Amino acid sequence: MSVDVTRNGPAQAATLSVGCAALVAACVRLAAVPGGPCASALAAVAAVLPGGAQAGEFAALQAIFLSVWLIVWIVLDRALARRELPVGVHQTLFLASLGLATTLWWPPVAEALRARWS
Amino acid sequence: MSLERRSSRALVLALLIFLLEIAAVVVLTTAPLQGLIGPGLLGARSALHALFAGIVMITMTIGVFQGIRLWTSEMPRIEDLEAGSLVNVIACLAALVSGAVLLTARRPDLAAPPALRVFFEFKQFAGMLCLPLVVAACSIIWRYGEALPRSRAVRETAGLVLMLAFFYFMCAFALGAALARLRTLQGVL
Repeated sequence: MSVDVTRNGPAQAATLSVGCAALVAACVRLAAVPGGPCASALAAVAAVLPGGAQAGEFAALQAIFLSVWLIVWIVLDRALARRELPVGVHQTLFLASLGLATTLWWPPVAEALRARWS
Repeated sequence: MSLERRSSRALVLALLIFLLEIAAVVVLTTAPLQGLIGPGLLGARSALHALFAGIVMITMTIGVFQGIRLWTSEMPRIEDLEAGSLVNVIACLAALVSGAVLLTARRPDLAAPPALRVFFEFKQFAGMLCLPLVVAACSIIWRYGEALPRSRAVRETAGLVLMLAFFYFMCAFALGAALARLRTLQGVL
């Protein structure tokens, strides 16, 4: 992939895609209440993955995370290839998405949120 | 360089190699390696995952120092950055794949206590984040290359990502080591 080295767009695309994928994976995990449709969908995804039967829900979440990361990266890379972006805003977005995903993934927080919504 | 200094270095190197050879032979012929790795396929898979995690520990430590230098404008050599970031990606990929392979060997009938499950699930998340972060840093370093010192924003972004990768790796590594110890003690996970 060629890159315009005078623009910071590609660098921001690389980081934002990780934050976005982490947030999506954390939200999917949060929505996967045992017995619910999201958990069934995750189980179905895990069933088609090699070794997914033993690895369970996490294998599906990992596959979703990696897929979202790569797709978002390709899309953002093309969209931001020749753009100079305000770094502060994008780094804040990246850190906020990563921080939020980490908080949502922390099991006690996830369980508390699930209990509140159910 | 004087002849005396060169010969001294050669002597030290020769002695070190000789001592290493003796140590290796002694260890290999006397160590109960089976006891170290553990029985069966699970033991071999665990040992491989731990070995790769140990290698990532080294590459990540180098990476975080390079990240700090990028952040503070003390540019390391581009060639060092490129090689370091690529090795980091390869090591992370190996650790992730070996972790996935290890996960498939888990016994689902062994239910872990809730307290351990909390740490295990978070370890999985932290470990999963490492690969995309180091790939992002590697792509920035390789794609910008010689232009990296000229763009402060890009340099700082690469440094930030390397530091974050180190943080998440340390979470995964520490929890992995702690859980391996607990697994030995309690026979769970």
